[in-house]
Amino acid sequence: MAMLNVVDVKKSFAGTQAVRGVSFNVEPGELFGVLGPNGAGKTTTIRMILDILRPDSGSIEVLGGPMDESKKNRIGYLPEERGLYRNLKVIDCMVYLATLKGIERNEARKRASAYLERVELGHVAQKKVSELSKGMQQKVQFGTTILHEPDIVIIDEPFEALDPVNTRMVKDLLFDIRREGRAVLMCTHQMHLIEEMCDRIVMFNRGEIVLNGTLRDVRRRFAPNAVWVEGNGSFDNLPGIESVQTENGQVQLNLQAGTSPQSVFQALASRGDTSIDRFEVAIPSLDDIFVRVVNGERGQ
Amino acid sequence: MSKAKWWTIAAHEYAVHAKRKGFLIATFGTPLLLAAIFAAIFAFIAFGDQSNSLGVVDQAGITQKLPATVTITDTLRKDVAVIRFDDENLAKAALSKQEIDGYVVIPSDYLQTGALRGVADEGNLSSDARGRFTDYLQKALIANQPSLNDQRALEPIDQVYNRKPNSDVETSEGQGVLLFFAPYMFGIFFFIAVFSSSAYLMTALVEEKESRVMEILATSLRPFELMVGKIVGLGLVGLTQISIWVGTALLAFTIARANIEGMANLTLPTNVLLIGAVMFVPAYLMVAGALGAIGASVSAVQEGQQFSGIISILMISPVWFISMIIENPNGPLALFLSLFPFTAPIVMMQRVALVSVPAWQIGLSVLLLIGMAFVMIWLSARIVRVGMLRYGKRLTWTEIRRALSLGGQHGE
Repeated sequence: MAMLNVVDVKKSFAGTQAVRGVSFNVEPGELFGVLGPNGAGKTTTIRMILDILRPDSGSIEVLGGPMDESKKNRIGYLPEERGLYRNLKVIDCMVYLATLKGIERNEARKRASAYLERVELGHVAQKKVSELSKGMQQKVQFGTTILHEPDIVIIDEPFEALDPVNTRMVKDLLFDIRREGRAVLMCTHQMHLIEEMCDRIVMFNRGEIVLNGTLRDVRRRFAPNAVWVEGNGSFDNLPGIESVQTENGQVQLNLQAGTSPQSVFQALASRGDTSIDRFEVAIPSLDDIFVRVVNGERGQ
Repeated sequence: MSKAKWWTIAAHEYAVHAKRKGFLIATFGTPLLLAAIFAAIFAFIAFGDQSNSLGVVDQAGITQKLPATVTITDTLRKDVAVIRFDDENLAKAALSKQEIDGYVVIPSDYLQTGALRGVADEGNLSSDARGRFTDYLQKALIANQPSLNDQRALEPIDQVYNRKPNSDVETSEGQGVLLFFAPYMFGIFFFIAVFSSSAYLMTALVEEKESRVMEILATSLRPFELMVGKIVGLGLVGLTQISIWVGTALLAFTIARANIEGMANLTLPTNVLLIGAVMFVPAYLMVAGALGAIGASVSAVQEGQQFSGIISILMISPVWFISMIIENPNGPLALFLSLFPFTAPIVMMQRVALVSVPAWQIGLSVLLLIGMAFVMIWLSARIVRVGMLRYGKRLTWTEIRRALSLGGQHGE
């Protein structure tokens, strides 16, 4: 059973189509990345999943069926526009929001204390939220998202305002959730984190999904059929090479159709006047793919 | 609807607001402040600048029928002896020995002119001394009219017992004053409790929008549950406040009645309290609904306060018409204001204190108030649903109109 199943969902606001027939699904134990430029329809789609907005057409199934009130307690949501009760104590704020997710008060207090200890915020439990730094508030906010142990965690820019140490801490928490067979849907503009963490991705642009698949598949679609080489000597006149580009000491050998990277490597290795420091099949970064998709490319 | 969630919201709102310094100061400080003001006024009158003994030099011969020393009494102040001196030198000597605080000379043409000459160390007679001399001269003048009952001449009307045209129940003047002030005071308590609780609701909604907590709440419970929880929690805050105020007022009244002779026969207008109690909940729901809708529509607390000012002016407007209502409590203006939901609670309390209000008018007034409360809650639930995620900008009239016509649809 898919944790989330979104089928051909559309939504318009005052005549403007914000989401145009979006479909994707998220499976148990999956870290699912959602990419796209600002205004691409990601937040609107998430709000429809959460039943804050209602789609004009299409269907959304959450945990095996339509969204209802009972399922709200099984979802954790960290919105892009976020905040906490600034005048409440950290522990009270966390407990209150957890009780709204159906957790009994004493249990919520226990879980909140344990979470704060885990993310090294035990000493601020009795402080007011307004007294915390932005990064600390971010960790508290993340805690309120997962304290009720939801089956689906939907998070928008979870690493904003976090330093590398805290980013790792939150990443570990997300990996734990995945390990436990729960699902995470993560929106972020930090492509390297998507690359590191996500099993599958969808990319939104202008209300549509323009990419959908595993990271490997997506990269392959945008791979230029080339290899990158660094070393000394001449890289010209190799068999099966269409053209050679050099940038910052790195040479890109664009392969002719039917030429394999292995054959190019063998040809290079057999040359006595050439030494190779690095040889890599050219795979574009998610960053490159993002820019190219936003500029209208669809891949191969 | 899940009971637990709205109740969780209600309990949270109550706990947060009932602990606020502003609430505690207003709730407990107001009765204390009023008590302090009354105590200060009493102390000023009782212990303020007043005479011990005064003198009179009678050159007109009008005080001969009075004893040489006459004690002039006052309700709140101590008694003062007015001593008659045969000539001014004796009075002057007594003044210099500080046996008296001052004296007046009644010249021989006093009866024609009414003019006196006052002598005191400070250069002029104190207001207390002036009052005592007035009483003294009244006694002297009455003593020269043997057929008059001097008590009646001094106090021609001791008491008026009022009754309604078709009633045998008589009301003393003191009771009349109570009937005027009780609804007025309860009306102000009522207004403050209803309005401050509703204002808390509006502020809480705007702050949750401003701090972006609203989106988290929106994924935890329905907007209607959110509103019910807030309205119940903050309503209980208002109820706590008004209970403490009314309770303190009743306690003060009971103590005063037991200890002040003039108040012994006064009875509290329980019908006023009853009307207030019946109207409190629907009036609160009506104002909370209105201010909740404002809170969901605006983007900042200050903006909300500007709009809520209109509702507060509407509710407090009966104060401008108070003299017309008292003059004609069953007149068309009083009737209209006691039926119009936003002015009904205060005006109806005033009317039932003054006259017999027909039962149908009370019933209609309560029904209209309940109806308006439903309308306002309905409006606010619609607007909250649309406006709760609108950060940083106010809903336009078009958006509000669309929200009201959307039915159960989610926000646009």
